[in-house]
Amino acid sequence: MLFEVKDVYYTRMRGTPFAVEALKGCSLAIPEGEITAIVGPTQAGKSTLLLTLLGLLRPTRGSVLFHGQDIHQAPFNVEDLRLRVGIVFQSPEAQLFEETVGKDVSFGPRRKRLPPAQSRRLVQESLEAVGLPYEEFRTRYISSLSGGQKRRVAIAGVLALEPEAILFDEPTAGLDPQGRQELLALIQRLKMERRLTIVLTSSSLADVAALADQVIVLHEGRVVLSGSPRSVLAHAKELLALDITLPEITQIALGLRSLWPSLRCDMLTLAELEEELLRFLPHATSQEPQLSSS
Amino acid sequence: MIEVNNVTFRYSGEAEEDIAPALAGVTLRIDEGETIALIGHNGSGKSTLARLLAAILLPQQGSVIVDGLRTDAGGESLWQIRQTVGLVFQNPDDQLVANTVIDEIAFGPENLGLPRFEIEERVEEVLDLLDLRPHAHRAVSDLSQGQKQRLAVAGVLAMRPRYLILDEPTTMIPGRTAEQLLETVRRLARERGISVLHITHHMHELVDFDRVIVMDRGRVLLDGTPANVLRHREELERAGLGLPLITQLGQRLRARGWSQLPEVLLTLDDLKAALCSLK
Repeated sequence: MLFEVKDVYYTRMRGTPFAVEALKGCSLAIPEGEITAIVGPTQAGKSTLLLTLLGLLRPTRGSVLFHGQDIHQAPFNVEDLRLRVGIVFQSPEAQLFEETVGKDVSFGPRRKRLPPAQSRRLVQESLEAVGLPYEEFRTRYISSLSGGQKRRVAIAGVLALEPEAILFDEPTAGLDPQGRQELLALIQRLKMERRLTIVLTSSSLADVAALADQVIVLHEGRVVLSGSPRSVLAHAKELLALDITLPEITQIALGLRSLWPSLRCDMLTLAELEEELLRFLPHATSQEPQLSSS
Repeated sequence: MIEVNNVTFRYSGEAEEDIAPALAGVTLRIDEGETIALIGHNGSGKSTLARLLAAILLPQQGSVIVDGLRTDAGGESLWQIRQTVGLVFQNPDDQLVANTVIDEIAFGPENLGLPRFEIEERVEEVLDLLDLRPHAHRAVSDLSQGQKQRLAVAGVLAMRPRYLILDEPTTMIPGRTAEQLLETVRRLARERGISVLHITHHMHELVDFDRVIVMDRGRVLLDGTPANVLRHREELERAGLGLPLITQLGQRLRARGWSQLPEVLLTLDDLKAALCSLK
């Protein structure tokens, strides 16, 4: 396991009248080389959980293990963790601070004091990996980029650190359907081609059902469901009550349950939904028109 | 009535022949009380058309006429058109200016120089219409995206427009919130006769509108009722738009032999009714 979270509690603004318990006994495991999606409505504790994984927040109770070692116990150095696990925050603008794309992406390698040639290679590879051609974008001003491009630059900056894993906080928030598809495809490529472990948060199962290997549903600081996308979708009704956006296929299947209460709702594609419906429909009455012999 | 007569618009100026215009000879008419979904891929000209209708952009060729006033006539008529046509942007942060919810709603009417009691009356009215009363005194910066989007609509409605244009209001907000917003807007159209033009690229959103206009590369590709438009599967696919999943499911089942199913199914209720008849 890359990460294990054991019975973690976290209280925000602890010791003040505004104290809020954001995580209330969270336990989960994040396997290597897979995409784990943490899904839940706003205020479920998704972002807090990501920050806890990275050691940016220290649990009030419970522990976080990285490769089996407690990240807050010596000899583990939590700063090491941040070189090995990257994070892409919700608004990419928030983590870009240099003037140009090249400078921003090379910030990590420069801080690691890598030789210039190696740093340059990393920047080039990272930019190409996110679909921004190096020569074209190296000298572009950050301020001249579109929102989607900024998001890619932020990801390239993280890739340049050659991490084992990347955490994405709401990577698709605020993107149009096309931008959304492109970003999800990019995340899939990072897993397949670079063997990265990916953890991402989302309030929509519609976005992540086809992508994730594992889905963890968070509600009010607790894990309420976890498993493969299919096994989670099988509980579609409960998810709807939690205000989680469901894939359209699942919504249709749920709607059709008023006709056939035992219709499954864990299908991921239209073809699967069609097959499922065939179990219930009477045989087709009209045949292909037959040629009558004259 | 808004008339768009053979309008062409380029962002780059006139000389660059090699860059295709954002709009190329668009002609259409929007009647009072109609609800229209305007759909198209990125770069199809949807947002440009919205800005031309609201007189934020002016046509370089052709004309846009709002209730008899040309948008390029300038002076007083521009003032009149801006009150008649209300535009809600994709990102509510682009149009919210005040600190609190009621100040935001009052901003437009105040700038019209309306008397105090009339401003208050309009604020009260739209607070209820958009379900914002519980948030009336909250800071705009504390609202969720969905609440901000409702506030942006409320601010525009307080101007009592006759045409409401929504430029992809649902891209920034989660599914169910988006549905509720669209339901509210359609109710307004029914109850007050406001025309609604909803710009979107979600195919499943168009089924509840009176009329659908499909744009592709600066031109109107299809214009008709949802059922009529969805019959043109090939044209839609060429414009980068797939059929809504419910429609696709219906067609797949027809192909499997249930040929008595209607060719175009629009909503879940349609699908249920059609499947029920097979049982």
